[in-house]
Amino acid sequence: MLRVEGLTVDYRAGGGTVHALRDVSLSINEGEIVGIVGESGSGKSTLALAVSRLLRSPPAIQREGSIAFRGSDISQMKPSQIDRVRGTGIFMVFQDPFLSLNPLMKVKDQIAEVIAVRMKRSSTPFDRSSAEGEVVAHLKTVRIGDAEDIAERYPHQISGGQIQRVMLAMALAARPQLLVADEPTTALDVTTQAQILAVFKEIVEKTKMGVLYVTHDLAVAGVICDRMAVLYGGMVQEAGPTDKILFDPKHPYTEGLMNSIPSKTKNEGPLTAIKGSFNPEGLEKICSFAPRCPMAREECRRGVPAQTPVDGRTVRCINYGENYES
Amino acid sequence: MGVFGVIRQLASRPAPLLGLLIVTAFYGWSLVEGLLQLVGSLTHNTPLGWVLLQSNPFTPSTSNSLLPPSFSHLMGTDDLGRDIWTRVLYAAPTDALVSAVVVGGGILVGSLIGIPAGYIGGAVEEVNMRFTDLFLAFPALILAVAIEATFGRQLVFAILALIIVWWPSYARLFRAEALRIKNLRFIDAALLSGLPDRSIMAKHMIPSSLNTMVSYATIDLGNSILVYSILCFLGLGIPAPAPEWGSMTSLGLYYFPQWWWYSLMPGFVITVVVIGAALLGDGLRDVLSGGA
Repeated sequence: MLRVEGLTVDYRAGGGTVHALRDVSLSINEGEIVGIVGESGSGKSTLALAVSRLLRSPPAIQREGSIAFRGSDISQMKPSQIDRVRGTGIFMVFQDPFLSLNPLMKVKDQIAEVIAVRMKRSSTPFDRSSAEGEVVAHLKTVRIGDAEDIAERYPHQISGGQIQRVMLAMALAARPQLLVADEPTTALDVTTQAQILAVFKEIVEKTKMGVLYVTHDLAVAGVICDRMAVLYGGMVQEAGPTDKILFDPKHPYTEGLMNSIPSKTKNEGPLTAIKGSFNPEGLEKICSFAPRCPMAREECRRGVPAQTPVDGRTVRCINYGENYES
Repeated sequence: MGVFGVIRQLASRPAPLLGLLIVTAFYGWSLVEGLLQLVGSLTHNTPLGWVLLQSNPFTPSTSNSLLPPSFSHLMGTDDLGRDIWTRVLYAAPTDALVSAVVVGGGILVGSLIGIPAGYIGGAVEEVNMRFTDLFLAFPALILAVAIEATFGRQLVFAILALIIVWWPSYARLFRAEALRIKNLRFIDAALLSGLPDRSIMAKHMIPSSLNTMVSYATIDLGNSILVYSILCFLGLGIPAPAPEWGSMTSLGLYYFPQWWWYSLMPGFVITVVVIGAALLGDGLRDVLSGGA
């Protein structure tokens, strides 16, 4: 349904250029949750925004690649075409719950707005009272207890967890084929996070929508995703089924990420952190993880490692064969 | 925070409270008196216009001419012996109407030009804002004088002239607000819902810019009264014998300084209303930007 191929996005500002995404490819099918995992600055939010066509240009420039949604390239669409894809085609839930609802509109009005758009597209007459009934039903689906009461409130009168549920209810109301979720649970506490993830999974099973789930949290990705891609330096370093990647990471970066998760049950001494921090300079022609990699060798700097299939997934690391991008 | 919450917060400090009282009194009185005048003129029963007043604001009484302020004539009398306070009260609805229509018209035109400029940007912004600059560069009073001199001394033309010089500042204000609001996340969310641009502008941008607009427009009510009074002072308002604050101030100057009240009293009323609007607008800005 969604097929991203060779996507390359730069940010140009103040004379400098940052490669936010380099040759990123991935696909999402109906009813599938695909996770994008990476640390700050890895390009994961840029990817989410690019798929929703919300990147502001300038400074963002899509240099290469395509984002095909149901066969047509989103990145080449005219504004009027993109309007028709949004909502019922692609919907997005944002990272910061407190900014994603209009503070001047009641919850029910904002969800009803989405329903009105959907009705208009399917040429069904919009009926205010049945729409409000639907709003309450969606709010109940996302486990908002006193749905009738919450529907009447303004965003500042409800909590962050509730707003994220309202956003999910909006997604339900839009009935999109693809939902882009940019760290939807990051701003929430763990118990709320667990509840929302459960609702999330349930909704995906029921509606068969495809989900692009962006997170920095491997544990969250492990719970919710069917497949995942680990992003570093704007490149997909390792991609494949979630179980394979989490239980048997092949790329040194993925391994490093796994090692830096604290164990719940035993005291392992000091946590192993990946040394250094991401610096985008001078990475054009080498493995972008090489400057921080514990296993880095001379060969890592000979070129950009190509995606190599290893044990049911792809890895960009010369430890699995010295293949370089041409 | 509802309307009553805002009023309660305004009333908790002396300056905004004073402004609120002045503005409410001015528009409240104008509404009542204006309706009476309107009904009176529609039913050919003009005296209805002064049933609430002490005397007929039009009838001269030469024996009372140019009396100083006293208990029977709070602001004194003019050269024809008419009570100035009565004439000030009778003239209030005109000023209220002018200020409301001019500011309202400015907001309407300004939002239509400014919001697309800020939200869509690019060529739309260039065209709209250069068009605005064109009007902004033109001296306001001279344009108003020219329009009235061409089309005649009528209230409609005075209002029209004022709207033409009034909207550019609102266009700029709305553009600035649109630039701020369009980067907020909920606009992205609205876009993602599949709302077309014009719905986003109408349903999300305009309501979100109202906070800023309300306080600015309140201060502006006073400014528009001031400029309208200046037009009248220059002899471009509604024709005599209808009373008008600016023209009363102007006529009174012939009798200044010996019969100072004739000019100063209407001028004083203008000042009070303008300051009242400024105090209220200032208070509103504090309340609306502070709370939420």
